[in-house]
Amino acid sequence: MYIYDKFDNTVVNERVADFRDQVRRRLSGELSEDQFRPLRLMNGLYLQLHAYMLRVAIPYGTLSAAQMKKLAHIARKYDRGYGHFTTRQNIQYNWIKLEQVPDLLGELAEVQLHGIQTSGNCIRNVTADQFAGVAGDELDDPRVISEAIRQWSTFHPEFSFLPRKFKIAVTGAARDRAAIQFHDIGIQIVRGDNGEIGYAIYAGGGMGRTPVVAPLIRGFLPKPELLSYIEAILRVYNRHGRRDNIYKARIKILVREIGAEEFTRQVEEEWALLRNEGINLPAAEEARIRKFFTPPAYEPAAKAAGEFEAQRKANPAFARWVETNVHTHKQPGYGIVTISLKPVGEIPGDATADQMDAIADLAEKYSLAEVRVTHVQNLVLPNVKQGDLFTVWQALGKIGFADANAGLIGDIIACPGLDYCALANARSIPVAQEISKRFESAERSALIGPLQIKISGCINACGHHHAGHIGILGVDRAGEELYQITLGGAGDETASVGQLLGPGFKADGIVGAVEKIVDIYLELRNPGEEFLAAYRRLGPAPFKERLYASH
Amino acid sequence: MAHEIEPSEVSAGRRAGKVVTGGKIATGNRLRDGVVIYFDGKEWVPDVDKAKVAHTAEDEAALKGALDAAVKANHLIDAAVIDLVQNETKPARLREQIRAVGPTVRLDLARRPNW
Ligand code: SF4
Repeated sequence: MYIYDKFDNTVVNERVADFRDQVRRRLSGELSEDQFRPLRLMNGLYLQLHAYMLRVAIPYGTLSAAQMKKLAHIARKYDRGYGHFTTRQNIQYNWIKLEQVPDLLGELAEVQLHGIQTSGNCIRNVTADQFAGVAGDELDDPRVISEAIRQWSTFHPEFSFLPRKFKIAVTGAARDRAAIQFHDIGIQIVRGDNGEIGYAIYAGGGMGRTPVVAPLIRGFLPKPELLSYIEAILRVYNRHGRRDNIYKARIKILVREIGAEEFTRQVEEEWALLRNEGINLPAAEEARIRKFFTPPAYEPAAKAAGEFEAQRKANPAFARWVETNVHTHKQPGYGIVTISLKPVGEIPGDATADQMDAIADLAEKYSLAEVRVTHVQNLVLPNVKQGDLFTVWQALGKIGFADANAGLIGDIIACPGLDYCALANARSIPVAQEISKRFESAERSALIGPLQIKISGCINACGHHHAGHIGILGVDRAGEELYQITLGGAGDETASVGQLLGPGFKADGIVGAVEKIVDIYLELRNPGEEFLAAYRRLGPAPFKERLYASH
Repeated sequence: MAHEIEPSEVSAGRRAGKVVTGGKIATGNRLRDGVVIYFDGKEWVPDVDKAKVAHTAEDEAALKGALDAAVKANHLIDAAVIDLVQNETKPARLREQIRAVGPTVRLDLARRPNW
């Protein structure tokens, strides 16, 4: 993975020193809260319901084992022993004390982590396919260009005060595991007509109050020209984005208002001026970055294949876990392990310091010292030998993370909601917990098959409810929590926005409503038809009619 | 940046929910560590049950005065006077109840028994 050079290190260390001084001045009263707030937000420090919350950037979701250890240490020393992995592939700590933040950031900097650009109207932490570099189906490793984008966007002076925040996601495979079409810019690595690698560019997607699936604005962009092209997009946005109205300030509104065609025309025009301005990544720099992502020396396959088969035969629970939580690795004889942070009835995305430590140890021993964070709030061990899978599964069982539910109904995204978040209208986590308990049976959830439930505690949609096959949005109706259901959303390459089904449900009715929807699906599906496909065939009518029949 | 948090879209904030007829208390987060605190008539304490309850406009003005002074003294941020349920120290809004107790999903960390 990428290792900071002296410039990166200096930048981060200087920022820690700056912030130390700013905190000192705030505590002494030299700075008012109005003066200080933007400074702390620039370092990912928010004020939530119970305390300060620190958001730590995990660039494109890639962590070393040593970094994971440090995250565990931070949870233990500066928080209350746990952290929350988010849909931005970041980690958030919920109980941070302002007076300790400079020391905390100093410790994070030791392992090249920070909270810079995890807040504010700038280019945020770039996200990517969590299987980057190991997926059997990818054309090229998206981390190379993600790292280039990270460097290009860090402290970019022109783009530090955009009309609104700006999120970029990258996938190297046709199968989109990074929800790129719901981003301000989505980048897909593709092959051109002559077989050369380049990019398809989507722009103007987003969730929030106005969910939009990004239109494709360029089918093929030659590989060397990526940075100048996205700079052109940012320029057009920076110039015309609505600074007058916070609800209309995201790029999605601009693209929608002037139309994708006109937006593209302006971008291309801007790009014509920019493309020879030396913004693009020089080949030598591309090669330097790429070196950090050189595939490791994998061992020849299949030494333990026989044993692996025997273990699967002897342990149905292990076999089920392999089925759902182990994905095809590009290297025969290896597997990609998804560690479900969704044990039945627990808080999606939360991990204790001990659990993080244990995962770091597993990464060190069995996954070439690497961990990934997924936007679905799970973790990944990207490089596990087949022969080690059984041991890893058993070790995960010991820390409560061996649930075989990746991609199934229990694998729920839930934002922090009203339990933590100052913007929330309703709680998200308890709803997720109840649903996961209701569908606790592994047999039942296997029967239901792939089904993504995503829950947000307000219209900001951090819980990606618009992209949920079943989306749940918490609203506040006269002081009471109410939950609206949307159906048919998808965050993959067939991206779509879920449609609102009807009136919301009270907290005590939402789980029953979800169960009813699942039952209707089971009854009406064709053999082998997954939930999303069935919904797309059937439309909302049968669900609506029967769900509200008794109302 | 005039807003706290993601100045994103809509916030439940502290806008009035349903009609409330109980008393009022003053609250905020302590600047140095973010801890939720309440004004007990003399000082700022973490225990909502010790909060000084205002029932008259005069009492409420006194709470506001204490709150402004604490903000000015850089002791308090995100300060507000909030509504209570009638005859109780229980805040009217769920948001404020959760602030007083802690996350409902982590009652092992609760500051007081849940209502
Ligand atoms: S969706 Fe709303 S409630 Fe949930 S984390 Fe985002 S801002 Fe908070």
